[in-house]
Amino acid sequence: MIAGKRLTAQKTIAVIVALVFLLVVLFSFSFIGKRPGAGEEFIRQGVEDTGAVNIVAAIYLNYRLFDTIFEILVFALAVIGVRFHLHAVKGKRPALKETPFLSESNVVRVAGDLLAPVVALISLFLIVTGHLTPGGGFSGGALLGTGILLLAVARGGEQVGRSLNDNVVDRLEQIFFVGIIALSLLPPLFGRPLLANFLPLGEPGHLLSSGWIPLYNLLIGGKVFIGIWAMIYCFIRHRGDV
Amino acid sequence: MTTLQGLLLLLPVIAIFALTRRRPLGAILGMGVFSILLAGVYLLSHAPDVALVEVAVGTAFLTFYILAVRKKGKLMVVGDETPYLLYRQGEDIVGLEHEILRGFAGELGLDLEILFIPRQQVPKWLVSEDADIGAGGIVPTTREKSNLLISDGYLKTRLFHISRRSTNKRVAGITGSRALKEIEKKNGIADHHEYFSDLCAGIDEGKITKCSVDLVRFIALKRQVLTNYNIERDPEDLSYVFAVSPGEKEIYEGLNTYIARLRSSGELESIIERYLK
Repeated sequence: MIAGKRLTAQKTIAVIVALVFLLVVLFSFSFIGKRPGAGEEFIRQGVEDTGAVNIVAAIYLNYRLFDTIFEILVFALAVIGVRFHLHAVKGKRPALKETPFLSESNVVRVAGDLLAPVVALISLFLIVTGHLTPGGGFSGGALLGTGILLLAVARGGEQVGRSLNDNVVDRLEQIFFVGIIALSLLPPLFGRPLLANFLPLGEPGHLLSSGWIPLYNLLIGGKVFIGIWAMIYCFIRHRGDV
Repeated sequence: MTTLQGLLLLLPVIAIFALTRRRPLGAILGMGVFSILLAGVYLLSHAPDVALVEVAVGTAFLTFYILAVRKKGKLMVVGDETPYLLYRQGEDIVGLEHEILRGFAGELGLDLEILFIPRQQVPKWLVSEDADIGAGGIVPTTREKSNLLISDGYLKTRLFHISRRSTNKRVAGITGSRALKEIEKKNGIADHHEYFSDLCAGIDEGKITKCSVDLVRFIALKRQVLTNYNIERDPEDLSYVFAVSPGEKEIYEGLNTYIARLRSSGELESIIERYLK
């Protein structure tokens, strides 16, 4: 059984690598809170500069927006990759089933119907108040994507897919993505440098404040949600079931 | 020791737990626990935003993996209930084939799931890839004509053609059994009836005029009254096999090596003895 031996060896190596990696993580975590650096200044100046009470949002949607744009690009590429490859895979595509196997259990269907609106509400809250409390477009969008996966499990991917028209999903994804890029290119028109906020900061702590950060949160939330759904739907169509 | 340090120490333990699981479901559960703990670490490190994403993404992936494993983590076996080989005993399914398949599934790290279906439908289930392995005393009559993957035999058997005795048409009975054999050859797998229990009932009531059965079914039938039937022993040496879905080359090869290993270690012999002696 050479194959079996090789598998054990692979597993041992995997365990060792994981162990080393985790030791590194442990080691680096031990430095937390010990090194004062540039962070201090952001924390002191953050609210005044950006109007966002949530300093994390202030950093990734204002000070470091450049990095965030590329992060969104990475996510968009991941979605494109999934779509491209699952479209390219030719051959037998299983026939779509109306309802998935899981939903034959009523518990799943009822729980899905009950939980999905709650999940949607919480994720919208996270997106809208991203500049005030922990949350924001990425986590809110990811949560919304999880919620729709829940619906797909409870009701069947095909039914959920029908209610979200394919073309509309495609168009929305493009709109969100172009919107994010366009918004970052707008500031020069208002006499500001690229990637610099041009909207009024408003009163810190209010819902309509901190310039374009809420707008970005909405766009990113939409983009992440649509992207996750597009990937899930690709998988569903490819497998023929959730 | 603070909570944060405690969580950090727990992380590698959970990671190793998840990595070393044989069954995919155990690994997924380990990953879920890891994800939750990691979110706790982020939260205690004053990064609630990251913790939120970790929880959301962790849950989504957990669901994805579980959905994937629901299909791929099972070894789906279909077949007719067969005396000695694969049969129900109270709530459990037991038998010689069950013992082999359970060991094989354990080796692959899969959950064994057995569904009893009429024998004629077994090839259909395998070809459509709804099932991985067909079991239940399958006897191949011709190897080439079927597109199913036929494993090595694990037990020798024979076919018995039985036909209802009728005083004036004895010859017809024999030709009838030959015609039946032709049909079997066409299907690749010897058999014809629906559930074996239906066949037993049919013979009891005297409705079945002719059929052919393999050795273990014949032994089981002999307990019933077969006085009205002619029994013809097929001279061909055959053996019981498993049929594997055409798309599952790896399972096919793995099953053959597993059977060969059981045989060489003498374990197969002891299993056969336990059920058939």
